[in-house]
Amino acid sequence: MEKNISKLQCKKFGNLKITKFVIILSFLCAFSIENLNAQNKNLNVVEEFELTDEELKAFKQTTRDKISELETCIKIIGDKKYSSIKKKKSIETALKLFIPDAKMQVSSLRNGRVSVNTFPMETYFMRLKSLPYSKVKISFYDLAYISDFQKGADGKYYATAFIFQKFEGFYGDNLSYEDKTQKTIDITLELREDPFFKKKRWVILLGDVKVTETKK
Amino acid sequence: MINKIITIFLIFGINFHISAQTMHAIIVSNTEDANIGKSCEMDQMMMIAEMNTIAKAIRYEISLKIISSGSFNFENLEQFIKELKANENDIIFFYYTGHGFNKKNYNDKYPIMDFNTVKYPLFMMHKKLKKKGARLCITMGDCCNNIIDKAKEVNKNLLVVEENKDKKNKIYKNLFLKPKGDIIVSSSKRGEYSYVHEKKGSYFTDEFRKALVYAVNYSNSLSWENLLIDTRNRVIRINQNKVQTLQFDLNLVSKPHPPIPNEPKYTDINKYLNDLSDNNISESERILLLDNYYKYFKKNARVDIFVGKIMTDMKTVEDFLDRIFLHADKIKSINLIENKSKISSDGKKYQQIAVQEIW
Repeated sequence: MEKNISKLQCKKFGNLKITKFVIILSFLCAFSIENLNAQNKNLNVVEEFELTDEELKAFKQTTRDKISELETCIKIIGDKKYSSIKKKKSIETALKLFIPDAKMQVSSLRNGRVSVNTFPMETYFMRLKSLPYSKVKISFYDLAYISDFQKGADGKYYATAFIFQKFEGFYGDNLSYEDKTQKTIDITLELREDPFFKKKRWVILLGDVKVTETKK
Repeated sequence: MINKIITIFLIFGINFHISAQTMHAIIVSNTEDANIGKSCEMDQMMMIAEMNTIAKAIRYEISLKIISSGSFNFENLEQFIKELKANENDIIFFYYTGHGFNKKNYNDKYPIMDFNTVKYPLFMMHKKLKKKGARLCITMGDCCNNIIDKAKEVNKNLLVVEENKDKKNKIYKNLFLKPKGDIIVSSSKRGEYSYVHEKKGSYFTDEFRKALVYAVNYSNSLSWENLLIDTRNRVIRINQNKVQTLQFDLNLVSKPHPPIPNEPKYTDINKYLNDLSDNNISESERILLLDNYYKYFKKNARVDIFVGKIMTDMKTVEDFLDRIFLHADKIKSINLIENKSKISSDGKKYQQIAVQEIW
């Protein structure tokens, strides 16, 4: 560089160079800050509506727990051996898993023909509690399968759960009816305000339950 | 110039002195025993890992002595203890896993360690180690404590049956740096057996480690008393119908956090939540527990449910407790995340808790 310029010249030109340098640096900083703010704003907006893989994995685990909860509630509600307190709590707990107007499909297999009926969720649980059998045994014979969450155009995430239910109805010791049913459950993961705590958070809700297959 | 050299020398000298504080970890493990050898091996691995973690957290040098396999005998241990030297700021942590027992005419609640040809009381070991003059001396025995006849064989019952790094270090410091004195622990009371799991090792050691890891990650503060009470509750729960009651004596000069009157203890809350979801406890008892939730929680207290580090659900405490009551057969355990929970302003009950459920 300018190693041979005299000290005095260096000082004079040096001051000018420093001033230029400071001005350019200031512009660069201002631009960077502005850009960073813009990026931050974008990040905040994106963060609010986008879940990471790790978060989706955690919500999938919680969905699995909720399906497991539902299965246990169905078992308790249908089985005559459980107390009315336990059945009541099971119905209340189960209903809180679902969106308000969720529906349950039930099927029955008689003379080789499958008939399917649809009920509002609360009606389904009340009917399940009051089945005419002397003994009811409901079990879930395979691990529930849950698909990965996919993001919809509306910003919510959707998944489907598959459950495998075995139903046995007895009169005394005699097995009167049995079937195996495969059902799907619509799952929604959405950002909404918690109605009780007034706090925005991601909520998993179960939707309609539909029969896909019924067999003996 | 000379002053600079002296200053630098002093600085390095002081640093060297500080870094020479040592945790003497002595692990004695009967890994070759036909019945319990495999479990002891697991215990040994877990405790080596744990001792290393503790030493790193409190920035102590670790001096690790393992007496196991072919070297598992009392003579080796005795020779080592004879030669052991400890400074006044050092820690001694002695851990034994193997056979143990107690005797009708032996007047001590702590077990006798069985080195095959030599039987040596845990309490005597503790006395010997205390005399070394370390700041903190911990003696831990994971072995049976059942009472046997002189003539009978020792009968060991074999049941084949997851950050804020500063906070973590703070817990380790509270346990290992602040207290001065001694602690003796055995995995079962006089007259009881200690149980093992073929794959997990001894129940006591496994649950002690879990209690420690849990506390380091989720507690605000931790005393030895709380840690050992939590371990005791966990062992009781995991052992289900078997009787195994951890016992301990603490003789510590400084207690890091004196208890605040009426403040709910996290060990009590943890026990409450886990009892409510314990299928081995009768439904009527659990209904009673459910009805008495107000002892620990404000009405409609908020419960945040975590999977790992991520909060995935939120409920009122009433809904949450109903749920764990109903699904007791599916819930393995519940951990209160103390450092994400809030006590009400009167200091008596929780108004908000964070939990981790393991289904």
